[in-house]
Amino acid sequence: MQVNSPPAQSQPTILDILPDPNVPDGACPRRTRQQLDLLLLAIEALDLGGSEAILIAARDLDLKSIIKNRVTLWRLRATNPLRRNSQRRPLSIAEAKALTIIICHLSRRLTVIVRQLLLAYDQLLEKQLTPEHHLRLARYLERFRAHFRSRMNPKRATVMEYTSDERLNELALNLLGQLLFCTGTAGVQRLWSSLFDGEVV
Amino acid sequence: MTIQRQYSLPNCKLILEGLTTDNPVDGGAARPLLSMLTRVECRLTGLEKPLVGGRDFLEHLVAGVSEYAQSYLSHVSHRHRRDRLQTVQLHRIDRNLHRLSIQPQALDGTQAASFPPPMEVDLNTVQLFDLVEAIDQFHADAQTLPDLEFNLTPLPKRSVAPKEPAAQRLLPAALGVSGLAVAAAALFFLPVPEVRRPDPTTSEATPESPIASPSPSPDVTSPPPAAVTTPTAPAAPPPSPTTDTNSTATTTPTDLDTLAQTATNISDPAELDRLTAELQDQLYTAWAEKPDPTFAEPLEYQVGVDENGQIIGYKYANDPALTYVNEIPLSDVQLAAPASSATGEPSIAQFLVVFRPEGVVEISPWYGVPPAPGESNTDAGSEAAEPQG
Repeated sequence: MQVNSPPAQSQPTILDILPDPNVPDGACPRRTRQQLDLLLLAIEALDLGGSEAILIAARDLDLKSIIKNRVTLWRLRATNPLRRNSQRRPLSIAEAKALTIIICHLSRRLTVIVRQLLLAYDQLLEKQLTPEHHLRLARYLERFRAHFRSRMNPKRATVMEYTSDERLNELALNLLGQLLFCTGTAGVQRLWSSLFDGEVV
Repeated sequence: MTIQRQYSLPNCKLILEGLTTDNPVDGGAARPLLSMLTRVECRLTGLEKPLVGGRDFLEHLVAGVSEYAQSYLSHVSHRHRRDRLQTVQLHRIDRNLHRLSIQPQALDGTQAASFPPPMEVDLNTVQLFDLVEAIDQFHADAQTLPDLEFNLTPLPKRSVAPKEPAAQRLLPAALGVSGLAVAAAALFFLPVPEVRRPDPTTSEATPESPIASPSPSPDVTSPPPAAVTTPTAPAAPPPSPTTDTNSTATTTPTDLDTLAQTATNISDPAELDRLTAELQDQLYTAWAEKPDPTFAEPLEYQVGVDENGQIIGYKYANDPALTYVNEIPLSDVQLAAPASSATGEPSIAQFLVVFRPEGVVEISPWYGVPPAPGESNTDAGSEAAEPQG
C-alpha cells in the first residue's frame, strides 16, 4: 500500500473543550508562552517527578500527537521568551491547549499539597513569619528558585527583576495560587481564557 | 415543587432554592431541573451571617467573583466589565488577601435611599478559590438554572486597563511640562541676546589681545584682536600660537567681509534653507574623513557660501575655533571665487557654523532668518553697508 500524502493532522478531540482565541497569526502571544512554562516550572518544583509526570500526562490524555517525547516538550517550553535557549519558533494554539490541559490535569493531582502550602503561607503571613518557617513551603520555594535560575536567561530584563530570593518567592507563590485555580471544575477554561486576557483582538 | 441545591466546599457553601416547572411525574428524572430561583444563600468562613438574596444577587455574585478570578489568573484587570454589575466587588488587598464587598441593596434588591456601607469580608486565596469553585460547580450543573449566562472570554486588547496607575503614567509628562515652565520662567528674565554683527569701529578700539601675533596687513597699524577681524584685514584668521599659519584660508585673495560688502546677500529663506542643507552635507561628508575630534568646546565659524553652495570664505568666531581649525573640514576646503549671478553681482550667504565635540555640525544663517524676503533684503544690505559709510 502506498500513501502519497501524509494523513491530515487530526487534532486530539480533547482540545475541543477549549475555544480558539482570536489572536493575530494564530500563534500564542508572548505572555501565554511565558505563563505556561512558568506554571510547568511550579509543578516541577512541587513534584520531584514533575517532568516525567508531564510526559505521562501527555500520554494518558491522548496528546501524544502533539507532545511526542521529551524533546518536543522541551521545544514547546522553550518558546518561553525568558528561557536561556529560547526558541524562536511560534507556539501554536493546539500546542498551547495541550500544555494547558496537562497543567490542569497535574495540578488536580496536586490539589492537596497546593491547598496545604497556600494555607500554611496564609498562617505565616498572619504571624508575620517568612516562608522559611514552613518546611514544605520552604522546600517548594527553594526548588522553584533553583529551577528558575538554572533555566531562565539572566540577561533578559524580566528575569533581572527576579534576582532576589524575595521576588522569586513572590512569583512562586503567585504561581501556586494560580495552580489552585487550575484544580477547579472550570479550571481548564479559566486558565485558558486568562492566558489570552488583553491579547485577543 | 421546591428544590434545594447545595454546593459545598471547605470554606464556602452555596445553597440555591427554587422551583421546577417540570412535571415530576412524567419526568422521572432523578434530579429535576431547577428553573426558577427563589432564594440564594452563600455561607463563607469568616462571615457570621450568610449572604442571602435573590436572583439579582446571584447574578452579581457570579459576575463579580468570576471576573475577579480571571484577573487573579492573568493579572489583567477585568474591572471595566462589571460596570453594570457593581454591587459585588472584589479587590486584592494583600498578596494573599482578597476583599469581597457587597452593597446591601444587592441582597434585598431594593434601591435604598441611603447608602449604608457595604458588607465586607476578607478572603484568603484558598477561601476565594472555594467561592469560585462553588460557583463553577453550580454552572457545571446542567440541572440548575441553565439559563444563567457564564461569560468566560478573554479580555480584548483595547479594553485592557494600563498596568501603571494614571498618576504614574502622567508623571514623566508632568515633569516635562513643569520643567519647561520653570525653564521658560527662568529665561524670561534673561535679556534677549543681541545678534552679533561685524562692527569694525568697536573692534579696532578694543585693546589687542596679547596672544595674537601681529597681522601682516601693511596698512593697519594696530593689529586687530584675535576674535574679530576687520574688513580691511586679510581674510584669514591671525595665526594662533598653536596652529600653523598656512591654512588654506590665508591664501584666499578675497576676504569674507569685503565680499559681503560687494556681493548681494542671499536672504530668501527658501534659498537659505537649500544652502544650509548643502553646506551641512558637504561638511559632514568631509568631517567623516577626519580623525576623531579632540576639542571639548564647540568651534564656531562664520562661513560664506556663494549661490552654488561653494564655500568662498570663513572666519573663526571663537578662540577654540582657531586652535582646532585643523580638526574640522573647513581647513581643507579649496575656497572658490564667488560665482557671479546673472546680474553680474556675486551673491553670498553667510552662516554661523558650529562644530560640536560630539560630532554634530549646526548651521544657522549668520544674520538670522529674515522675517519676510523683501524687507530683510534691504535690511541686511543696509546693515552690511553701514560700517562702510
